[in-house]
Order: sequence, then C-alpha cells, then structure tokens
Amino acid sequence: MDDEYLKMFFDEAEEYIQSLNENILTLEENPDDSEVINSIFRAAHSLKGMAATMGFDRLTSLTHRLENALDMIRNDELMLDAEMIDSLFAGLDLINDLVDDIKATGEEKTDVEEYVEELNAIIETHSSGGVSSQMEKSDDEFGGEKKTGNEKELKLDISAEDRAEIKKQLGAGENVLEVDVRLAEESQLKSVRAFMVLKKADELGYLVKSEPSRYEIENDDIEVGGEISLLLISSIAPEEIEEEFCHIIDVESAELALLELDDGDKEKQEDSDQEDDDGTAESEIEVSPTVRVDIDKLDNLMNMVGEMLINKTQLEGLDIDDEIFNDIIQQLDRVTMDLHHTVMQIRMVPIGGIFNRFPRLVRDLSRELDKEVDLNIEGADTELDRSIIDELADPLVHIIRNAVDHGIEKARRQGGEGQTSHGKDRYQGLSEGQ
Amino acid sequence: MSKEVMIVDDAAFMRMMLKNILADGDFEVVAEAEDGREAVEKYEDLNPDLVTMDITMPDMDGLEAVERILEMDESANIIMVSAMGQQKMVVEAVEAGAEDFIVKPFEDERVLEAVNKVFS
Repeated sequence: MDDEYLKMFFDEAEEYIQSLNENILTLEENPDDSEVINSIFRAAHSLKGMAATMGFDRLTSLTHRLENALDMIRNDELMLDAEMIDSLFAGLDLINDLVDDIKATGEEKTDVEEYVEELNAIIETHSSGGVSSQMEKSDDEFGGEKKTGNEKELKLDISAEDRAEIKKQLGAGENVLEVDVRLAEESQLKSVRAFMVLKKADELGYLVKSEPSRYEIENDDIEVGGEISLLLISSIAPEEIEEEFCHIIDVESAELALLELDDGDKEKQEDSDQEDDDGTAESEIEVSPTVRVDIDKLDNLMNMVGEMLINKTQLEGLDIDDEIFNDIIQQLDRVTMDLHHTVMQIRMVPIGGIFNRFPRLVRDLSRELDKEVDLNIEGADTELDRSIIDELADPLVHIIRNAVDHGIEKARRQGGEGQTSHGKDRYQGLSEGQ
Repeated sequence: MSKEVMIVDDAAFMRMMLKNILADGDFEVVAEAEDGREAVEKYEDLNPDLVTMDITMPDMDGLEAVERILEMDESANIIMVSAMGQQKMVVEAVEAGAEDFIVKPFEDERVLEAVNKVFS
C-alpha cells in the first residue's frame, strides 16, 4: 500500500474522529438536533468509505455497524440516552484504536467483535418498534398522498388534471404507462439519481407526472426514497423502456404497467403538493483549507529569513548616498520585516487544537466519577508557537483531571428542591501580554 | 487503445485514488487539474475522452468548468465527482450536460461502472 495514501488516510481519519467526538458530545446535549445527527452519520459514513477503500476490514465493519445505529437514531428508532451515547463513544474509541494499530503496525489488531455484540444488545434494548415508525415516516415523506390500495395496485394517483393532460398528449400508437423505478439500496445521492431517471423519461416520451414530483426532486425538498413512480406516455416498446431505465446506474429494477384510462372514470384526486420540509440540506464536514508543512521546512525558512535580515543590515551600513539606493533599502527593509513577521505567524497555531480533546475527557471523567461538570473553554483562538503547544497538551490534561477529580464534589441532591451540584471548570487560553 | 481521462480535483488524495482506480480499469490518465480554470485549459490542449470533475474547487468550481468545456466541445464526456450533500449542484451539472456522477468516497467498481457506461 502506497505510503502517501496511508498518510492522507490517517490525516483525514483523525479529522473525522475529532469531528465525531465533538458532534457526539453536542448530540448528547441536543438530542433533537438533526443536523448534528446528520453530520455524525456522514462522518461515520465517510470513514467507512475510506476504510473500505483502503481494505481495512475491521474498521469497515465497525463503522458500518455504527452507521446503522446512527441511521436508526436519525430515524427516531433508537432511544438516545447516556448509555447509548457511551456506546457510541466506545465505538469511536475502537475506531481510534484501530487507526492507531494501523499506524503502528500496518495491521488491525484491536478486536471489534465484542463491541459489535454489545452494540447489538444495546440497539435491541433501545429500539422503539423500528418497523412501524419507519412506515409512518415514509408515509409522511410522500406528502400524505398515499391511498389505500385499490386501483390495480398502482402507486400513482391519477387526478382529473392528469387525465386531461394525458388525453391532450396521447398520440396514435402511444401507450400510457406507469413505471416504478427502484433504486439500489446503496445508491448514493438518490435525489440526483432520481433526477437522471426523470431525464431519461423525458428522452423516452412525455412525462405526465412523477412521485416524488419533479419539483421536489430538483429542489431536493424531500429525501428521495428508493422508489420513483412515473406516469409516462411513450411510443417505445415497454421492454425497451424497461431496458433503458435499467441501464442507468443504481437502478435495480423498473416495473412497467400499461394503463387503460376510460373517460367514464370520474375519480377526483387532488394532487396534493404537500412537501416535506425535512430540510435535507447537508453540508460537508468542515475542513479548513490548510496545508500541512514539515516543521523542519519552517525552521529552514526561518533561518533563511534570518540570513536575509543580516544581509539587509549590512547593506544599510554601506555609506552610499544615492536616492534610488535608499529607496530600495527602505523597501527591502519593509519586505524583510513583513516576511519575518509572517514566518513567525506561520509557526503559530491556535491553542484550540489541544482543547479539542478536553470536552470528551471531562465527559468521561464526570461519568466515571459521578460528578457533574460543565466545561467552559475560552480563548481557544489564542495563538502560540507550535513547539510550545505540543509541550502544553499533557500538563493541561493533568490539570483538568486533577481539577475534576479533587476540585469538584460528587453529584448529590441538595435539600428538597432537587438541585444538583454543577462544577464549573474554567480554562482560559492566554497569550503573551494578556 | 485505452481511453484518455483527465482528473480534476483540488485534493491530491482524491486525484491519486481516482488515478489508480482508473489505471486498474485500463484507462490512461493523461492529465490532472487542481481547479476549474486549469481543467478548461488542459481540456483545450489535450482533448481527453473523459473528464472526472470535482465540484468544490478554488478558482472556478466544477459547475462552471463543465459549462466552459461543453461550450468548447459539446460532445465532451464529463462525470461529476461529488461529496454527499451536493445534490443540487450535481443536478445542475447534469442539466448542463454532465453524463453521470460518482460520489466520494469512491468504490472502485462504482467508479468504473460509471466510466464504462459513458463509453458503452
């Protein structure tokens, strides 16, 4: 395996693990925040994809299990309590261990079987009648347009307007068909795939309507499920239509039904355009556009800037009385100073980087010691030289451990009011002169 | 003769990944571009059979690059490379004339499936 691949894999995996840590903490505080759940899900999903790409089987299977659990949480099928969160964190730690294993030995050593069994057990006890709630949800998603199945098991309701449109558009030798296209479960970006199905329908004939509607699909208003039903007028042979649809990637099957519409049928079905404002606007995990640079290179740069400063000073010392020369010297002076300043700045990193692990640390400690602690971090954007920050991490962890361990009392009920004691741990980043 | 492909992505990791997948699928990666502008320039020079186009890039995003390339060559084959959550932009790209799309993270078969389909 290419080393460069691995290095990028580690860098990215660490970013995802960090973001998972933060987001699961946020989730514990705001269990209903669907955006957080979504980003946790996405991070797990991306990790799974990366692990699978790199051929790390345990990591893949572990993240896959977690992803499933997260999906259930997202669909409100799993009760989210402290135990569940603990279990998510435990899974995350295993991910971390596996990544460390790979980093150290190139192989996955940590066993995940036991955890997967535990997770399954927890899912069992926390699941809230999964199937039925999923059914309800899919009903909602289709805007309440579902009808109790008469009408030859067609999935589309055909309104009076639809009939009128069909009548107007239907030419000689053309058929009216309902096409039920099913997308593969693992299909990604289903709404875009659905859009491509619509596009294909446009090529094959006249698309009267679809469920979900074109509007919903194009605007990504609803989460497109695995199925798209189309009402299509076409002169092309049904088998050929089926083949055309199946040719689209991720289309698992396309079932066709010929419709015969007699005019006598006066069924009035309002086409309800209810949209589910579920807001599927997903954002990518934020990774700031940075480059990683070897610290040696920065030191080198620093030394060269130093040399340049000396040269500049020597030039200044020359006794030359020339206007242009003096201008140039002045400019050189400004540029070298700026350069020096910039190089120093580059070496500075926000101390927040090492604060990242504190919330998780404090949470674990507070669970372990049965103490309630609010961690308040201020000044995370304070910048320090890289080498100092590296040295600071361990002592700070120690301080926080001690503070929680010895400085905060165990949670206990106080009086009859039911109040609990909350400790506040305050750590403030300080910089020179502050 | 193997088909010539240009990979457009601002992330070196993704380019490398795609390059290896495509090389295994017997495609020849003739160019890589880090942003849309470079992609348009290189397309003009090299006229590859296929372009894989990332969406979010500095200095001209994938959408605009698709439009520019199709202006130059309306028969250009472009596959969008998208991350989760970019539905709308992929739809726009497909509307603009991109052939298909693949989603990061890649799975080899899916990438090759999409690419092969373009040439089938």
